[in-house]
Amino acid sequence: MELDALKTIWLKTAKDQLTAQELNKEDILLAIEQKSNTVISKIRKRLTLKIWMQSLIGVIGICLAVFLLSKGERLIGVVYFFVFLLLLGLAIHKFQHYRLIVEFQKSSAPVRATILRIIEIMQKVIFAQILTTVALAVVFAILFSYLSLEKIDKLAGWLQGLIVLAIAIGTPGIFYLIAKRGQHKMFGKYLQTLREYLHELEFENELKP
Amino acid sequence: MEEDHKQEFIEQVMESQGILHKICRVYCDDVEQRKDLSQEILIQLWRSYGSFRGDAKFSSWMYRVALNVAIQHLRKAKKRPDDLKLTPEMQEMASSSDSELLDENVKLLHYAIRQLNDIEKAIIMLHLDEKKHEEIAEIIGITQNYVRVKMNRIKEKLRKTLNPQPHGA
Repeated sequence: MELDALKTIWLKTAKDQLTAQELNKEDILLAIEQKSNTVISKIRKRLTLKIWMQSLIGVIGICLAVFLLSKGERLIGVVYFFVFLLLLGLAIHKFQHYRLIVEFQKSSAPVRATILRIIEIMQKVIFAQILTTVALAVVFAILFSYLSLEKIDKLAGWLQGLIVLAIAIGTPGIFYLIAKRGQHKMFGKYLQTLREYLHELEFENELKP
Repeated sequence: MEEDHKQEFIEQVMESQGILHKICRVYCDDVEQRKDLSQEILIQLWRSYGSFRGDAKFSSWMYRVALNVAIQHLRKAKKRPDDLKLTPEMQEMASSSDSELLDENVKLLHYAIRQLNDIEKAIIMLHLDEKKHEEIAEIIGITQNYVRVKMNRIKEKLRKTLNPQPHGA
């Protein structure tokens, strides 16, 4: 079969297909009122939930910190205040990515530009997720270790400080690896496919042997 | 106002809905996946409709949005081209020009297109739809020169799939 014959068959099929599967106004109306299910829409939904949760916990935590400070619990009050302020800050950071995705979903850029943009957005979202995990893990690890060690009277102050410092140094590395692995498991395959598509659309790659 | 906007959108989609069917047929193997993709494309077309300013043809804009969705859309149990083999019957069909074999030739055509990757599918589909290189380049976002290079590669791949050389030839 030659390629010209393919074109004839293609055009004939298109006509037949249209007759057999024609959508009416109601079908289209019903479809556009449904919720989107693309990967990028799912990320957006997940981000929305996280933004709400983090903001809520952040605000409640700050209120709690203020309450503790008013009761004279200065150290724990200050620590709580900064931990929950960080949580609120991360929620705002996530909101910026949410806006990026919303803006992207409304665009109708050419295929290559779209793939490039999704890769950029995905990388930013993944980085933010890793950053959030690491930051929260470090803060909570320090807080938990400090409060636990404080109860042990036998340990010298310098030793307590050293243990907290060791935890502060070790936690980021461990949680970075865990978070990176988690994100890779969630989006790695999808991101790889998009990178392959992009590679396919780079003219320079075609010239390489 | 919103209602008028929606009506205008629906009418334009109705006129160009062939694009939707073609993309779903090329990118999805089974009916359920096609339904999902078709719905997803319609949702994204509606969401992006605000960005359609009428300076490009509606069909080109629709192709752009729909192809973006199709390429992003994750499909379950995607078969690798290597998993599929051209049966002797299909090879026989490929060499026949009898009009009675049109249905089989349609299957063969889709079989051949399925062997291509998602980007190649988009390019060949636009070519078969008689789009000029300039328009293909604009929709895909690459240069016209590169469209030509890609087309030659795709044609070669299709030729190999449709007219496989017998062993030892």
